[in-house]
Amino acid sequence: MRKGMGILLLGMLILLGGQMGFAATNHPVEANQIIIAEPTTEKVSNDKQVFVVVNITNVEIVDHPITLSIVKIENKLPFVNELGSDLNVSVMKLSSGAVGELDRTVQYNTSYNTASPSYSDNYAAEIKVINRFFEVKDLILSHNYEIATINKQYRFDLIVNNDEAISKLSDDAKKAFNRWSNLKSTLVDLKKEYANLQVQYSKFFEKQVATDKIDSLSYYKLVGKLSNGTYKVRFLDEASQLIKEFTFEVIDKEESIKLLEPLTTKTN
Amino acid sequence: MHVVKERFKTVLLILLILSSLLLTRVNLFNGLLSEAKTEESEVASTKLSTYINPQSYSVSFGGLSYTKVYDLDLQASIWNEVRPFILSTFVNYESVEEITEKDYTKAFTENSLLIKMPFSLSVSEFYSVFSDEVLGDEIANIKPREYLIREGNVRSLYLFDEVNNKYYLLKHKTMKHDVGALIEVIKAQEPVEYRKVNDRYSLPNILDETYNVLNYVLIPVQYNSITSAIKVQNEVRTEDAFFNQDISAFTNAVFGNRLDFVKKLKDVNDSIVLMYGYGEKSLTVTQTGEIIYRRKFDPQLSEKINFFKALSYAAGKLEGFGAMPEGIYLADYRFESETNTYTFYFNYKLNQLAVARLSSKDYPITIVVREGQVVSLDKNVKSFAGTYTLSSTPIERLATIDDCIYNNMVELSVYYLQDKGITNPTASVFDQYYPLISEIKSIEMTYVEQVANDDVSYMQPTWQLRISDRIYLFNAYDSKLIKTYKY
Repeated sequence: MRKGMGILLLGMLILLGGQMGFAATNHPVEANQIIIAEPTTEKVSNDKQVFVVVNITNVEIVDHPITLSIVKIENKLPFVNELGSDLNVSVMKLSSGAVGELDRTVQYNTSYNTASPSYSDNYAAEIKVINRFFEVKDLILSHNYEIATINKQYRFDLIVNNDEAISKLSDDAKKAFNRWSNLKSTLVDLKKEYANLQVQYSKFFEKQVATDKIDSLSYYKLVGKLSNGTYKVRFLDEASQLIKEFTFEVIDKEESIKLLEPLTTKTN
Repeated sequence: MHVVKERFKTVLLILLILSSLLLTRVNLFNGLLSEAKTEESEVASTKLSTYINPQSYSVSFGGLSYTKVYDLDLQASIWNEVRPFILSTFVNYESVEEITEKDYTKAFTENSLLIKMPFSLSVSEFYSVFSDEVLGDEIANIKPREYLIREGNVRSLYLFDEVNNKYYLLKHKTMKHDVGALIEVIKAQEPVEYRKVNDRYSLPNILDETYNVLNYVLIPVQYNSITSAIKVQNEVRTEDAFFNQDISAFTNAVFGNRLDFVKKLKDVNDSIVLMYGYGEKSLTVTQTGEIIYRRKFDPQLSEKINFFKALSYAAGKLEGFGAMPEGIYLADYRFESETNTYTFYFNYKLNQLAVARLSSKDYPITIVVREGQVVSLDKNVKSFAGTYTLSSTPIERLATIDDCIYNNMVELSVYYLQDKGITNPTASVFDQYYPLISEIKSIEMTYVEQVANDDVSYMQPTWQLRISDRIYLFNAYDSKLIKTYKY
């Protein structure tokens, strides 16, 4: 019973954390004080005008405006054809689908630029990020594989905090244990680096669709009809840090009809 | 022979005296007395249905998308399409069920048509305009302010009785109706997008249920379609060059075809007064364009009348009283049972928009019918005199409703608190923002007459908002508050 309550509290904490945006600092206007009235669903038909309608429940918005940013996540890297021979990765791999799920803590503690992107000379800095992103990704995979292989043989996960059991290990096993521990430790660092690289890399696929300042309790913007694809609506504080994010997909009208049609039932 | 000649002379003399007496009588009394019976009887209008019609047409396209129809032709075709079904349902209903506001608003979220009357009129009064048939007690006293019909081949008619704050669902015995085709026609015109207030302001997420979180008043979310200001002129111009010609459209209805006993006077405020006989009837034309008719009440001609008859007399008088303005409609009425007096308030449209009132009873046309006699008629109707450009810089979009509320929030908050009897001077003006929004009762684009620096009269496009029991008129170009008054 107590365990159940604990899990429930943990779940609520996670949910609250999600709403609060995992921000390192408190924002004058918090995520739960920003109510997105539109879009209402994660799927929007491409024949309809898209409106962004937001209501704020904190009057601080007047003195501390927030920034609305709408970006489209392109499938292909916009500058893929400009990348030179320093790129160590096949261009076939450079799609937004390969970015993966972003780490929320990093995501909510990163600054977002709402201006048009400016790239380094010959995309040197961008190439460095891309190369390292895939390198770290591979390293994580190989580390995971080696850790799993060692663990399969020795089941170190069962004695990892048991000093007595560790002291009784044979020399070979001890050697393997040290290797296993080092790999685990490196993996933690790699994952941290990967989470940062992931956010940096994901930004390369973003195309700014609209940006605006919100300084009143009620706000709306007609964005217009959008082409098919994935879009993110972001609310940024005065330091350009993310407060809240909403992702929606623009799809063909026929697809949206398929989603909605079976629900309607009418009586005379 | 001589005797015959003398007799002939005598008869001729008598005939001359008699004819002289007859002609004197005609000359002396005909204008003042004998005319009374013919000219004083009221003329009844035969086209009352043109005055009683909805003035707000809201369309739901489903999926949060709504619009409002301002085009007069389209409004007329919608009303002509749904009116027979509404009237037939009043007579041939299978059931009358009271429903909740939630059920009603849910019906409005699907493809549907919601039409709103300018005032509350009982079903029996409304129906009397179209037929003598007596209606069932169950529905006769319902006062529908709104009618709602869903798309689909349905027998259902939803009603909202604002006076009693009740919602009803009526089912026709046999007749089915479908507004789907009408909705498609409106949709095809790519209309201005509207949202329901509760969706637009996320009211159910912000306020508790003690507030009107289901608020289904429509608010525009597109403001690119600019309504132009228009130059207007009075119906009767008091300048000598125009007066006689302009007033001739009124004198016949008021004084008949005899103007022998009509005196023309000038008041101290430069109004022109036409007075009949010893003040039995008068017609006053003011410098601001009002045309005021007054008639002495005659107890000998009194007649007990009902709503239908009173309205037909009022409209009958109005139909001969100058030109009939575009889109004229009955906007409200009052009845005083003690004196059997009906007061009818009419409004009209210019460039498809209604003219806003500047106070609660400041209607462009007011007609009082007391015991079957039209005892007063006040008319102040403007006519189109050309487009009017206020500024050399073209306006890119209209002021939004948000602009109007936000830029005048101090005034709105003060009035809101004052009207509610709340005294909380320390509260931030924005503390009342969402409660105030939840009490929006109507949003309409209207015209308000303004006078420019060069003395040109023009109609300014205006957002008319009813919040709680107060009307606010905001300039639709710069969001400034023009006027506010209690509803």
